[in-house]
Amino acid sequence: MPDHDHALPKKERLILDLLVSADHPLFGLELVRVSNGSLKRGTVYATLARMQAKGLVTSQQEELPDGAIGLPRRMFRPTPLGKRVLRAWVVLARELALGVR
Amino acid sequence: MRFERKRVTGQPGTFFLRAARLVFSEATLDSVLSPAVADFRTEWHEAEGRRLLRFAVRCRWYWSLAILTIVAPRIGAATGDRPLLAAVPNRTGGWFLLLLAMSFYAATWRLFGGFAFASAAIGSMLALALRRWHTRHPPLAAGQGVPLTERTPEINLSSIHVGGDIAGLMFAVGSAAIVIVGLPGLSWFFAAGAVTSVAVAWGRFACLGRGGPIVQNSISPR
Repeated sequence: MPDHDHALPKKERLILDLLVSADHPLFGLELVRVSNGSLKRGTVYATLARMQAKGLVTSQQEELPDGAIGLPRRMFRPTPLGKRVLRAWVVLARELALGVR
Repeated sequence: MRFERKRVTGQPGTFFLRAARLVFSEATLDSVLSPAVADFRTEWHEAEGRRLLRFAVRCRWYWSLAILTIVAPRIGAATGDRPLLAAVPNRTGGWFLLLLAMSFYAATWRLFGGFAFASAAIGSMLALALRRWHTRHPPLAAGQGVPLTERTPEINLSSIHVGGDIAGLMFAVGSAAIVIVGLPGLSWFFAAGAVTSVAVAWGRFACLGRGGPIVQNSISPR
């Protein structure tokens, strides 16, 4: 696995943070809306697909209610690995901040 | 914040999905493009009754889908998926082959005129159709075991082996269409050739017997 797969870019960190904070799985448009403009409609699924390949998030298609037509949305939730990575990142950021002071 | 799913009656993004099916693999469609279109439809439905807002939603999403179309091939490469466009920017010279083809068309444009454009258009459609066939029939795909990004792009037609299957038929029909566009006077020859070849094929099939093994899809660079 290439080294860059271990990196946690800003947007991935934000998505992980939003998913961990939420008490239910979120789909792309929800993430865009709750991010207050930090995530874009055109790239959120690209980022989510990359995160899924890294094992940070998992997804499943929602079940359509009776009578509903159209495409089912894809709901995302953090994996245990994703939660651990986010926690480690928060701890690291805190330690770095303390070190700078 | 919780979004309730509503009944979606309109189908914006249908054409986009149809076109994307020609270019991208099922995995990319399933994980990236279809969810984006589903969000598009959700937001479009939420704007029901407000024409101006619906127009704004359409504009915003068409722009977003255009961006997604550009970045999707890179996602495929990152996730191990193999969309059509992943074959171009590879390390075995795909970009240079593309540049060479474009230079060739630019240089011969004045000489061949509309034929250059027609052959490029038909060739692109043929490439999309063949790629789609390979994507939809992975067990029959050529070059099994060789990652798409490691295959060497070929420009020499003689080094392409064409198998006797659907992909081979697509290749033959597409190639004949390109020649007919350039030499319309010979279209009768191709029509006669098609009829004769079908008759010969039927004769061989009748003589050699049915129930033989199906020839594998074998269009592949040598």
